Order: sequence, then structure tokens, then C-alpha cells
Amino acid sequence: MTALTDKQKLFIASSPEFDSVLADDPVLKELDAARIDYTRERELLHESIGGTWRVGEIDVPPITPVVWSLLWVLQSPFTKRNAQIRAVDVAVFLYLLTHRLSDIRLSTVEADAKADGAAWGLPEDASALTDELLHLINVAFSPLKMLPDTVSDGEEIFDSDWLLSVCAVASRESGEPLHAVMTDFPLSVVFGLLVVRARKMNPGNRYTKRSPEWVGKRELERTNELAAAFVAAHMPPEPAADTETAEG
Amino acid sequence: MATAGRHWGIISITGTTVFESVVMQGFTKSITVEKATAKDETGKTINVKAYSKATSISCQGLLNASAPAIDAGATVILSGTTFLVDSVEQVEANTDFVRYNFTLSSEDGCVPEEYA
Repeated sequence: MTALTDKQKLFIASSPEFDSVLADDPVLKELDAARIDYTRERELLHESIGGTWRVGEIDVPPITPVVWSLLWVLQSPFTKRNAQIRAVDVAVFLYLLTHRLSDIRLSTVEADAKADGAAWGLPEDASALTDELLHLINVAFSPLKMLPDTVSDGEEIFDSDWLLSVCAVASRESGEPLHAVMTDFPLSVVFGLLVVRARKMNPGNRYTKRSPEWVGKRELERTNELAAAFVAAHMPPEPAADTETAEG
Repeated sequence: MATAGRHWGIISITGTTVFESVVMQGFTKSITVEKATAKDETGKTINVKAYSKATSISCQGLLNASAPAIDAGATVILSGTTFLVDSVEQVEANTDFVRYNFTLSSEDGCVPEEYA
């Protein structure tokens, strides 16, 4: 590839449009997803060995598939994108995480969760707890970043069919009974097992995490490719150099 | 102003007229103001006026391995804004790229001049 001239480099650096090109590039997105995040790795390992979390002053286990599906059935805004989250939604989430699901009455879950929330002393402004719960969701879903992006045509559905589908795969990969996967496995582990399955089903795939060195090299190569293409498509051609003309 | 995502920039090599391209990401931004205070005869503050605003950005930058070493005092243009490199630390180098931690600053939108 021909090296860019200083004028071309300056043109790109002065073009906010190129930032959009970088933000939207699927190859760079794939590289970002493949980059090892050591903090996230610690969190995933913590969940996979049975570690618990602390949300506010409350100890909670990791999100399980059945808890996530229940949240969706209850139309919790935590299962939707960009939804307004209220204090009662936080209480319901914590209630589901901290109770044996077989003991829960779904018809009164909101009232029971509110009662528990009062006993826990949950604040009216639950934004801090909301952020902590959103963090748990991010941890749970992070293994899926290794899989290619799929375009959703609407609301994600986490119904009983979803629950059985993902847990059946995880059960097969782990050798554990389906019911144990649904109720005891952290969602992050179940999604990790989906990635294991996807690797087996798609030989030659790139469903993996990479070292910062591996990612950095390709990131720079790809950015340089995009920069050259951007210059070719958007930069006005430079005027030809003056040529000497004979006088007299 | 570039403060999120990934941005292409150009960085000056101090003491030369050379520019190198740099890919910046991992932005953390802070904004501070400088204040003038007026006090009365008892020493109590009776008026405060902010008179200068500074933006400081921490980020990581990737450069081609063939690029000359980057030094504090250089300038960086990101998305049309020129920043001064307050500090720079090389954190990774191999045959393909060099990665630096940068602290950049911009004050009141003025265009800084690099260290000469």
C-alpha cells in the first residue's frame, strides 16, 4: 500500500466523517470484540467458579438463564434496550436473584419484591443499584461478543423457547442436566458454552479472543486501509506540480 | 471534540516538519476551570469568576513501528481539534506497531504550538 502524504494525513485528521467510518467498520468492531479484557476475564472466572456479587448491600448470585427469562416474562425494562428503569424494577430483579424460584408466586412478585425492597432499605433513587445490575448483565452477555453481530428486527425475545434452546445446547456441551443448567448455571457460562458449540459447528471460524498485540497489529492495518480508501473517495485531487516552461 | 470511540489523528514529531498518523482510542476526558476570586476586607470570598477552561484527555495511541519516537510537547490533530501532548509513555512496541499512553490538553480552544 502506498504511504499517505502529509496532506492526505491532515485531510483525514480534519474530517469528522472519517471517525464515523472507523466507528461503523465491521472489521474494527470484530477486532474490538476479540480483544482480551483482563478485568472482564476476572469477572467471568469469578462467576464460573461460583462467585457471588454484591449489589448495594445485598449479596446476589450471578444471573441464571431462568432468572433472565423470568425478567423478560415480567416485562422488566432490564431486558429491553434503552428502557426507563424504576426503583421497583430494581427490587424485582434483586428479588428474583435472591429467592428460590420454586418458592416465588409470579402473580404477586412485584408486591413481594417491594416488601423485600423496603426491608432491605432500597433507596427511592435506585440509579446506583441500576448501574450495578446493568454491569452484571454486561458480564453475563459478554461471551456472545465473540460471535458475529446479527441484526435484530425488533425486540429480543427471551421466552421459554429461548430458555430451552440455549440451555439444551449448554446441557449437551457441559454434560449437566437441563434443569441444573437453567436454574444453577450463570448465564455467562451458558453463553460461553454456546460459543463452544458455535466453534464446533463452524470450522474455520474466528470466534475467539486475541492478545492486545494481535489486535493492535490488525487494527492499525485496517485503519490504514480505511484511510487510503477514504482519501481516494473524498479528497480532491492535488493540483499537478508546476512545470518549467521555456521562455523567449 | 474527540473524546470517545476511535479517532484517526496526526501527530507532529518535535524538532522536525514530519507528521505521523496515529489511531487514538480509550478516551478519558476531564474539564477544569481556573478561577479568580474577589474577597472582602474580612477575607470572605464575595465573587468568583471562571476565566479559563482546560480540557485534559487521557488516551492510547497506536503508531506504525516505523514512526519516529513521540515526545511530550508534540501536537496532535484529532477530528479537527489541535491538542498539546502533555505527557507520553510508550507501553508496547514490536515489529508492527508502537502503543503509547498519552495525556493531551486543550485550553480555551486555542491552537497550541509544539515544543521547538
